[in-house]
Amino acid sequence: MLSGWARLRRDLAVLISLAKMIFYYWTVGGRIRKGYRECQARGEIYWVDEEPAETKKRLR
Amino acid sequence: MSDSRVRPGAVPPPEYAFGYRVPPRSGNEINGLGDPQRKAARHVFHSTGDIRLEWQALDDFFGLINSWQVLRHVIRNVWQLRNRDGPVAARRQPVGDTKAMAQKIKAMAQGLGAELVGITQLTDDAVYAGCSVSFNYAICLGLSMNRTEMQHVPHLRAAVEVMRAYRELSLTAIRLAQQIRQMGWPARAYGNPNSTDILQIPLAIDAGIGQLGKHGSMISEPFGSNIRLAAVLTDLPLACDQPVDIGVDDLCLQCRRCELDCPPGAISQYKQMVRGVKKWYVDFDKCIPYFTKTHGCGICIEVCPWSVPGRGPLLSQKLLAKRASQPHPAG
Repeated sequence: MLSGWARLRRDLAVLISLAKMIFYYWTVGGRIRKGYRECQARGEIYWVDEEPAETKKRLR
Repeated sequence: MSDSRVRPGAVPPPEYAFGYRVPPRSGNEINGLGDPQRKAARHVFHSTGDIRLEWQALDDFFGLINSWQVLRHVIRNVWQLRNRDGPVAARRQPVGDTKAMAQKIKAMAQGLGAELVGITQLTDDAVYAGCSVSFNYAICLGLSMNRTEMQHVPHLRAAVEVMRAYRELSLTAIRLAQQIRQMGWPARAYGNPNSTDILQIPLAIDAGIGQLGKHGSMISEPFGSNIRLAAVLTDLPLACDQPVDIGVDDLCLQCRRCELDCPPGAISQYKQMVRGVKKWYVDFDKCIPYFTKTHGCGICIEVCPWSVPGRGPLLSQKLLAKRASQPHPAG
């Protein structure tokens, strides 16, 4: 069995990464989904490499 | 019996409101299409997060435009997969009869929810380039998806069902790995659709769960391609299964259903050379944009005649009987 501390550390690390994933989905992801919907409506192209998730993260 | 074949009607056209300003290298080139040299596969799309792929921008976009209903299954799967590895019991259960142990493990996996189980040795062919896995055996698991939900491809309903199946089978793999570790043998569960270090389909084919279909997915005898895969890697000595011949090639060489129903035309009529092996191959550069647009597509696996519930065993029987009745080409 894992010790209590080891288990807590492991679970905490996974929880933090999940929290980041959820936060990212609702913040940056929300902007990307909105931008994509606008492009679809206007018949334009949403460039995935021009405004990628990593760039947005750096700009924050 | 009613004919429950999927006939996609008004599917979205292969026209995209997204794209690359600077396109990455062709995914077909990265996959080794046309390359006569045998070599390990490379990740192209769906990363484990620790390496940045050449198609990462589209992968990120795919993940972020997906519905919350899909993501919540991913989150629950990631959370349960924290238990994929764990401490191994100090006292190792000796294995005298590997066949008996293989039967025991298969029964255990089925008891935990797997509908398909096969065992194979882990070879380098099933490990991605740059990854190393130190286990000897792979216990491959399969679970069928809810056909009612999957008949909605390409639609969010089907995408949610795909992720639900992955999550459920992942839990089976985690519990099986835990039980093997309690027997004193190392074991790790692989239940992530972002395939991590190993290639699930080649392993499952080697483990006798099915054969590769024209659409690049595996066809199992009972469920066709309407399944998802997971695996447990272990050092527990086990008797291995052999690859099966259920007549998939006989069907795929004649049938053009998936090929003609694929909106971007990504499925080719004939096998192609991929990293030194002639096999069925799906054009990555045509498939993935459509896959992204439709939140996971899935048309090819659902239109496959083999995916009709209850049809597989009879179809296999007929195809093999037909082949046996034909004069041998050499004779």
